[in-house]
Amino acid sequence: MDACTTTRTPRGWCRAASGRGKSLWIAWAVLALWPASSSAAEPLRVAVAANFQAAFVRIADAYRQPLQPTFGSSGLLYAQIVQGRLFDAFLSADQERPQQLVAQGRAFGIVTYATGRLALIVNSDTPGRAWLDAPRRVAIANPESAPYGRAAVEVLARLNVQPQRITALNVAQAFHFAASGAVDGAFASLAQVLAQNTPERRYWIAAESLHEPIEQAAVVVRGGNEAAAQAFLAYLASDVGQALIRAAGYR
Amino acid sequence: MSLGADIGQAAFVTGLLALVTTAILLLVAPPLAWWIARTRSKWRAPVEALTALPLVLPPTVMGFYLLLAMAPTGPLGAVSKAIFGEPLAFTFAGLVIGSMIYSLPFVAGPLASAFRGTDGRLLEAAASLGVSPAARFLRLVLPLHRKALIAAAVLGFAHTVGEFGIVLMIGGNIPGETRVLSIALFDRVEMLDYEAAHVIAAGLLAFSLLALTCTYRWLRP
Repeated sequence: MDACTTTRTPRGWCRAASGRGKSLWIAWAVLALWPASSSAAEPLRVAVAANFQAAFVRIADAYRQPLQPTFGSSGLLYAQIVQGRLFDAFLSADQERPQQLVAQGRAFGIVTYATGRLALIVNSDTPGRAWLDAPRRVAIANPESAPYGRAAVEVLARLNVQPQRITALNVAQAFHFAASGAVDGAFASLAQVLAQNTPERRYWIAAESLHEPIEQAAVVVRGGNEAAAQAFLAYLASDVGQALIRAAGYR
Repeated sequence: MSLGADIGQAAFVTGLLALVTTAILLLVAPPLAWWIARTRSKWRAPVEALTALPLVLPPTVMGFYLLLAMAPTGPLGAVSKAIFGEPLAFTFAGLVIGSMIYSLPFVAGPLASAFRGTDGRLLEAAASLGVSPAARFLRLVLPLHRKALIAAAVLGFAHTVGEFGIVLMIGGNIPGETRVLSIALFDRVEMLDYEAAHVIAAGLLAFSLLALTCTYRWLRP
């Protein structure tokens, strides 16, 4: 199966999506244990919402311990954790999914690490309300599994505009659709827009009054390396971590 | 949307996509397969390799390039925009083109193997009676290999039903237009709606098994 376009790790490919059960789990377990014998510092396995990718790469450069991220929509990563995929920490794009994991006893230590900003990136003209009024094709992340997609739907409703919507799996794919030129524009996270050095005339930051705040929460996943994950989340909440996160396009 | 309507719609799109793709492939693939089976041209190997490429290439690779080609700025998208007024990406027509490339080896491959076994004496006899090459192909070769044609059609249809990676890249998940069953399944898993996921997954499994069983039964002499 090729369900795994959104994960970057060679390990444990999309168990939840393909659901092939035990044999895959064993193969994954073997792979997961393989480097353990050779490397001294075990990398921290972090499930990261796609919008946070660029910021995470910067943080990983600055953090003392190696981090091994898996990027995907919050919904997909949540489903994988529920189905038993082992992560040490989960950086979601919303509050609900981490809260649910805590309620289920699968995670603890919830902390809001970033407040996301939604941006509209376009391929021509000047983006904004008027741009959306014209007939356009706009990519948004799947509103049912990705908080930035839901925020985009709220913005469109508040502005009372109805461009043709193309649904992407997550904000990363929405961004890719726009970058490929296949759509006129895309709603993505400001962080992605900044990371790609988008010229200022090509994006528009949605006012925070247009959508519910995108408060992104992180949790320590039970059963992994809990102490190291706790230390990492504390780093994210620290002044140093918050400065990095703000510089990347969050508030 | 209710569970049944959503799945029904995705099943309809999937069936229509597979039907249209198979129909067009049945026009394109037989002449190509015949050429591959009979030619002594030095181009046979590269053309055959190109035809078989989707067998080994990850569908996401094809989807990645197809998205660029189908964007308004890409070659396919520009042509489509000039003729139909809209680019190909995220449309049903775009999916048909992607599916044709994806399923071509499953139709052309079995046909080429079958055509290689054509009895040369029949062709010579027809030629000596003054039957033109086109008529020999249409009225002799195709009827001789009707079993292979049907098997190729079933394989092409079933393989298109099972398409996922390309649709993921160029589909855009539009209900009623590009949301096929495999994508609907992926969506349902992401939303933790395992009940619907089970319905779709079991349906696809049963269909694929049935299609292959029919093919193998049919192929038995």
